[in-house]
Amino acid sequence: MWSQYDENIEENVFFKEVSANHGDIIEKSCEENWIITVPREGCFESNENISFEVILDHILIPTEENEYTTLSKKNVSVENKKIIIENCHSFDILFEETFYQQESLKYVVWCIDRPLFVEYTCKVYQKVYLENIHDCIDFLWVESLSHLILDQIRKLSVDFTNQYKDFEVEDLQTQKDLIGRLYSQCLQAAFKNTHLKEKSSKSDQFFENLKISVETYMHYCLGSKLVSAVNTFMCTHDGWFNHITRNAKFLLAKDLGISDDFDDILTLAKCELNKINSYLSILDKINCLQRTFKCFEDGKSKTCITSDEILKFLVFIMLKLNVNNWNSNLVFIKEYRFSSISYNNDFVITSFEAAVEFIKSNNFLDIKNNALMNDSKNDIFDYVRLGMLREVKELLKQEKTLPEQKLCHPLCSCNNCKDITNTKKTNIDVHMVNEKGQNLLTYAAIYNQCELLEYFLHTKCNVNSTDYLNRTALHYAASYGYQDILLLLINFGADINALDCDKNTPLHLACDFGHETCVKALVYSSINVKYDLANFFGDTPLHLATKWSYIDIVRFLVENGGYTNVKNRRNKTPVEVSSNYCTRMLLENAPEILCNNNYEIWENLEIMENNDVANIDSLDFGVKPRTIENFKKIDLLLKAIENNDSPLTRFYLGFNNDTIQETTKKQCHPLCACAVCITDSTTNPTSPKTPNILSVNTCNPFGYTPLHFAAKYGRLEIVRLLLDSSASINVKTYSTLYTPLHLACLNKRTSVVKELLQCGNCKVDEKDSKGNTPLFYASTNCCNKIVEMLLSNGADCNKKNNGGKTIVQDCEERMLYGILNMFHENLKEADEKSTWDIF
Amino acid sequence: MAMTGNNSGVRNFKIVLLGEGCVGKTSLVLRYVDDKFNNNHISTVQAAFLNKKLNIDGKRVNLAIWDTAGQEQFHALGPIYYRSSNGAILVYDITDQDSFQKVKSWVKELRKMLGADICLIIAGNKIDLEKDRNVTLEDAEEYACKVGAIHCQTSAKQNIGVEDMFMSLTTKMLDISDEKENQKSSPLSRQNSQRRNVIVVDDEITPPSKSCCGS
Ligand SMILES: Nc1nc2c(ncn2[C@@H]2O[C@H](COP(=O)(O)OP(=O)(O)O)[C@@H](O)[C@H]2O)c(=O)[nH]1
Ligand SMILES: [Mg+2]
Repeated sequence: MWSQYDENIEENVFFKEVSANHGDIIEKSCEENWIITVPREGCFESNENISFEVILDHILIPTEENEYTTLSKKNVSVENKKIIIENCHSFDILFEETFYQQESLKYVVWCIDRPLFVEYTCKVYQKVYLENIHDCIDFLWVESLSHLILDQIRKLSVDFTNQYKDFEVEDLQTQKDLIGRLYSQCLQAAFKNTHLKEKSSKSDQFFENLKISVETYMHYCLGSKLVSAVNTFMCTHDGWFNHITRNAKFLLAKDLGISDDFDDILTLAKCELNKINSYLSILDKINCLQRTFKCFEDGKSKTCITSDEILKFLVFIMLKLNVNNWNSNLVFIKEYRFSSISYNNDFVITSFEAAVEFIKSNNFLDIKNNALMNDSKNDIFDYVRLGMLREVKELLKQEKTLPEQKLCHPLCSCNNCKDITNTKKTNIDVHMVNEKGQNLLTYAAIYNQCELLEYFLHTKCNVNSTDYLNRTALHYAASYGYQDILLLLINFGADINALDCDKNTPLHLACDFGHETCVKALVYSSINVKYDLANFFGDTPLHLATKWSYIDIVRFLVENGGYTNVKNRRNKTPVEVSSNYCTRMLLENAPEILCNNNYEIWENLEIMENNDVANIDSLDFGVKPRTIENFKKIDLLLKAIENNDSPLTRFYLGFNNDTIQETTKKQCHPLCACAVCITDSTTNPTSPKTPNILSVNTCNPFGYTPLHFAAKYGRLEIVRLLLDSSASINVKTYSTLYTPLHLACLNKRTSVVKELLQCGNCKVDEKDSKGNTPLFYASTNCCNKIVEMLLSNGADCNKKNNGGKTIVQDCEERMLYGILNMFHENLKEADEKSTWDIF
Repeated sequence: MAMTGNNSGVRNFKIVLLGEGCVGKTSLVLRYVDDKFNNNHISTVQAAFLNKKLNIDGKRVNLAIWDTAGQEQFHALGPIYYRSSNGAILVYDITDQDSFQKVKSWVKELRKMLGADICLIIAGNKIDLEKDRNVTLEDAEEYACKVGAIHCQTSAKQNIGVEDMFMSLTTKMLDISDEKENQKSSPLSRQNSQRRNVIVVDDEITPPSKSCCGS
């Protein structure tokens, strides 16, 4: 690619001299393909310095490939857009221009950066084209002969930042308009300088450079403010894009059809491109893209890279890099450019844009699937991967029936015994591991094979077995975003805080790969989960979610008590990792209590951790479903309760078949045994004997039992039904620790509260995760009736919550005088009672 | 790089090459810009994008020539590459009827996406292989005429018709651009510019107006 330098050759002093006085040379050039080299504008101030000898020095006659002699008989060679003369001096060829004349005659002109063979002291500005911020600062400083311009631009930019505090949340057009205005102001300031003004009017190239340097220095002064504004504007796009790239990490070069020969080039290109976010200005960023491209061009590798391959390369390195804002970068480069920073680079930028589009497209997912799905069936692991349950079962059965064969002696290595030991090694059992140390269960999780996983869970397969990366099945389920698998594993006691070799918990991985559903499942489905463990790099899950701009996950973690002030190994808190306004606001506005009470929560977690996982199944909590089918059923059941569909509720719980008979065909008479009636009752899948009935205390992944739901939605009839079938009344949800009574009070279900309290064993003063009792919610909800009932059932209005406040204090703060009156009366009564008791 | 409204009067034209793989797109560009030919299907990255400056009777023209990836896998990305081009060269291989059909589908797509603004060239390449010809000249010319394209016959290998092809495209683009220029009151507007940049004429500075951003 030619450099960006450009000038109108026809106005060049040297060229004018040649064409005015040496028409014969031009004629000859047309005929003989001579090349006229023209030192760029400014090298010669007037034609007085241009002697005939100098002109002869500048006309090149081609001899061999890349070899020329001048008309003055000197030899030169050309290499890499440079002219090299005998004493090894080299001269840049800035551009080539082909001049067409009438009758399709043409000749070629090369514009070069200084005269050949002439003792030459530089008269024009050093750099012909600006590459980065340093060039721009030099340019402004040197050309204006003072640092005044720089100061002014800086001041304008600082004022701008102060004036538009909300700049980041403006829409694209407003941002562009504001920046455009600032740019105009900066340019105007630059034009006040007489040197700059004068030179600009003389040379277009100079004027272009001035604009570029003003703009670039302005970007530099605005600093991260501008970048962050674009990031904010694009943050959902980037989050989505990151989700795709993160989940394609496992793609290999060959999956994209790139051969190994290019490994070195790709590594170089990656190093260049990885710097993109260390630059603040468009010029620098474009330069970074350009340099990345250059890596492909100057690749030392023997095989040439065809242009068709560039796109694949770009896609590949973009997938592998840790750049979290590609969309923003490209929008910034494309939309916020006011000066003409390089038209030449459009192709480079477009290629990156195309790569981004490609990554977003479905094509890309095809490649991903192809990589996952090879259908060779060599061993049991392949059967697992392909989800062939029957074959897997058969293989496992075979193992048991293999006859025991004895070796001649324990260390014997005769052919016979070798065979035996070999088959032993490949013997199949549930504990076998593959070359990565993954057992069958983990492998099933990796390939999202629910059925097989369930099967392995019911055999004696170790649910917490780790592979050579120290990852468990739960790690993989979390990182691939398989929520079903994840829940199933948790219910079978998978260690929810297991650490892999980088000290990542499953929650880290779910956050890193942006699987919101898994993050929620992990947080909700166990009281043991630790939100804030730091991995090897010191990153908490919140760091990772923030880094990749997964806004919803960040919001969720913050709401559920992720710490916002943990520092990672680079000494950065999540806020400092944040690249945009949206996540930053979420983090900065995180509930304060969580930041201040770290310690307490931490200790609680430690204590909880000491409990065995199995304890979750204790009386305090619901029973976890253990099959995928029941998983789905509990959801349906809860839905039915929400809809107040009591027949369906009974149906799922399997304790009433009257209702079933209503929905199915009526029997002729209750004991009829005619053909029709018999087939009906035998095919009836919901007969009470069906083994897969849900227990009345089954809970969903978040610990909600049917009773919770019935209480929450005020389904009195169902509440009665459940209580009658001995549903545990004091069960708690996992993370919030709500009892059904909490939920009834929260949702003002007076009749349900009454029903619950009528059961003798209902605990009225249970605390939820915030330390609040049901009475607290009843009071703050101003449900006098419920408050009254609770008080008369012995609820204590002096209980303190985690914030250290009693309910009475809280009501005083809220000025709920009606409720307070009730408290006072209740306390008085209690006092009287106790005085009575004394007597 | 005088994109902005200064007086150097350079016209920037973007040309894309489209067509099935292996018809010789890259070879044509390399022949035109570097006067080289390679018998193997190998091209350097530079060939993906090449600049050629021309001076035709005092008019300065800057051709940005974009070679595209021919792979079907990337077909959907076409619009990203050809948007805002002034000219397109649709190449087919005269020995390969399929490649000619592909040209037809490109013509449809370009006309649909870019309208009549784009100058089209349909180029039958590899005429050095005349003996194996599978697409008749009459068919191709008739079709080109029908869709308002210029038909050219080329051989990148023997350097036949390559320069002429680029010349006729450039001349046509110049005509269109002259026409546009005359229509517009302002001598500064560029038919192919994607955005209006901040225009500075000495001290007077006009900020970018709201409606300026094309893309
Ligand atoms: N005989 C002949 N072969 C050609 C010509 N142009 C290109 N080729 C060959 O066709 C093959 C494909 O050329 P290439 O330019 O890479 O095609 P692209 O895929 O369209 O870019 C190469 O082997 C070239 O050598 C031509 O004019 N005549
Ligand atoms: Mg090609």
